Amino acid sequence: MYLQSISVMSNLDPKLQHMLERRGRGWKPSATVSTSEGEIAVIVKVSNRDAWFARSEVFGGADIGSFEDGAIVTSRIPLSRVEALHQAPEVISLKPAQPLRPLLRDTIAEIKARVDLLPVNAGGEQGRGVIVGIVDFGCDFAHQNFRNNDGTSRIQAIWDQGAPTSFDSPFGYGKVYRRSEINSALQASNPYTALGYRPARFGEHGTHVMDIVAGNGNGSGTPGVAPNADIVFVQLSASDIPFSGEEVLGSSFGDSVQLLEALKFIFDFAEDNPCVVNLSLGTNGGPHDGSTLVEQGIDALISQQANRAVVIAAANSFADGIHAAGSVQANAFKDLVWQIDQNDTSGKELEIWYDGADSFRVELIDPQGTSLGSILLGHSARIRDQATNAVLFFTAHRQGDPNNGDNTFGIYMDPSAAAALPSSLTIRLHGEVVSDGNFHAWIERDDGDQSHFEAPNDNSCTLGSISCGRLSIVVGSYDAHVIGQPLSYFSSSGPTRDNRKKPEISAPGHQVLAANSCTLTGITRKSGTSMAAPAVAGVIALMLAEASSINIKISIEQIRDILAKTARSGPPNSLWDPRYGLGRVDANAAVQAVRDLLS
Amino acid sequence: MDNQNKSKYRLESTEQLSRKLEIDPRTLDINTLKGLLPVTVKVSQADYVPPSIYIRARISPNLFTADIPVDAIERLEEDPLVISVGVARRLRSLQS
Repeated sequence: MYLQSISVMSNLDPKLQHMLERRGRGWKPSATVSTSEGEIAVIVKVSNRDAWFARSEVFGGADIGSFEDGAIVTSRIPLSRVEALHQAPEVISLKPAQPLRPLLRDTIAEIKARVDLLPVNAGGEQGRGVIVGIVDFGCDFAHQNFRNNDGTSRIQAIWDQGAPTSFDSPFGYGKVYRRSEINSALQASNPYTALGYRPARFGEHGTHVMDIVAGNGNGSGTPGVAPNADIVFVQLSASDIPFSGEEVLGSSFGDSVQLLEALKFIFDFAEDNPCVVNLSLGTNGGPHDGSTLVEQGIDALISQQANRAVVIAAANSFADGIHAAGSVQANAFKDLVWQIDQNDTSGKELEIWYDGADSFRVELIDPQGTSLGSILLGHSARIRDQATNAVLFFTAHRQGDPNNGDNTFGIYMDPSAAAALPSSLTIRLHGEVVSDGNFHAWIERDDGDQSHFEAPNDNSCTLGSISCGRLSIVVGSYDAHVIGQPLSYFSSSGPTRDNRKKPEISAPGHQVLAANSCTLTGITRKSGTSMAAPAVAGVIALMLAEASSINIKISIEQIRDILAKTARSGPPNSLWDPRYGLGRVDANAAVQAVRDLLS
Repeated sequence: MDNQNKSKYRLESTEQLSRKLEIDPRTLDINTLKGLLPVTVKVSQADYVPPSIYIRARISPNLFTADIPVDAIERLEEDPLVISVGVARRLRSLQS
């Protein structure tokens, strides 16, 4: 047995310190009746309650009372933000507390998608005839929100990519459950066992997302945006090659190849019917210019015929310090400091992208300031621990990416790295040949203690890895429960690396109550751009249904144009905001604009 | 590359990377890969399929998904009609 010092703020409540230490080892608080996964309930003494409740990461609870030196309030906050909030100027003390009851809020009213808020002459019947595709994790087909009044399913098909292969598996893997099979299973005492597919647990992400797009409220009482749409769900899984560290954490993940196949499956299933697909998925890495093959593939599928759209969440990385950018001059250098928890072996990856006409020499410097050496353009290397000879990182400095011509430098932690990592690495970019000189760097998402760049951080260009395509519609998140609709603290920022204006639009993604898997009728609260994207996917389903009702088809260019022209400002207070996009989605105006195409 | 030995860590050169294969932790050391690699392939000629490649899904005339044997990476590298090969990269849900 030995004592191991850890880097957690020592002036925090000991219980909070314990939670943060556990978080560093990959633990995430489970959802409760009043907290989402990753959140904790706290009692806070503050000098300024308005300043506290104005923070977008704070979900308000009860105002306990005022005292001479401040007020005591209860709130729920993400565990990942405890240290930052503890240092907020208005916070006097912060303690973990008992969970509180959630308040029901109405996303649908805020975006004017409730049936009485749609145009009076709307003929789309709230999404009727439109296929809504959901590529996600955990579809609770038994929840009443996805069943018709007669008890039958509204889900046309579920493709479980992780199920054992059968003779008719799409693309050679997984299993498809058709509506007739789902309906048969719903007659059984245990529908999940009868079908052979079940959401793994309470609070599944995919069920929540699906409800926001197209739930009918038969169970929860609150419908989603397009409650008459038909649903096709793909339970995403990953290819057989294991990803480092993921199995240890045991959480859901998929991969980009199987994502493309999921989209192909949904669009093929829809045939000539209008179809919109929601992707509340992503990571941080990649060139952020839409050139990855998965983004090119998404664009290709969208453009193959009219009446198609793909909506993607912007990502939740705004406050994570995962982006850096700058310019390197010839014969000069620029330093980036990558800060790493030495004892956290969840995957650590960093990528730097710069112009293909430039050539940088990349020097690596350890925490003591000692240079390890340099990696020239076109070369690659390993970083080893001198004492144990263990490989800690791979590095690669590639010239001319085949998809965009730019150069890339990447550092990737070895999946089996067991030796202590350096607490930081300084990456010194030397300008050898400089024409443009600009660079961007991203740290990949990891589910342990997220590594980050040394502050101050440049939080622009923090869109997700698949959120920079040319035809997809990318969605940021704001809080619809607070006057002024402030941005969610996590909602990632554009533009893309090639300076295109994404996200295009924003929607409520903060503290959204929607269907809770394995409860039949219950709801749960979640936050994320994951919850904002399906609101926009639902609005597009309304638009597609409206177009069908007047016998026209609408192209992706028309869909994008209508969303842009009908987005609401105030906020945002500019034509395009890097986090709100062109504005807040407006279902009423978007549906009316489709009708106006005839005039 | 220059090496110094004063640090607890050291840099060690490795072999050159494939120019067409997407950089990924798993593809940096191709020698450690086994079996079939799920990839997305972009080709310059519509409907072209490199020899001995099994297509999983045709996404567009110039883009398909496939399982490629690890020993086919070199052949794809030398195939003038192959533009790039993207490996399967992980995707996670975006709940805050």
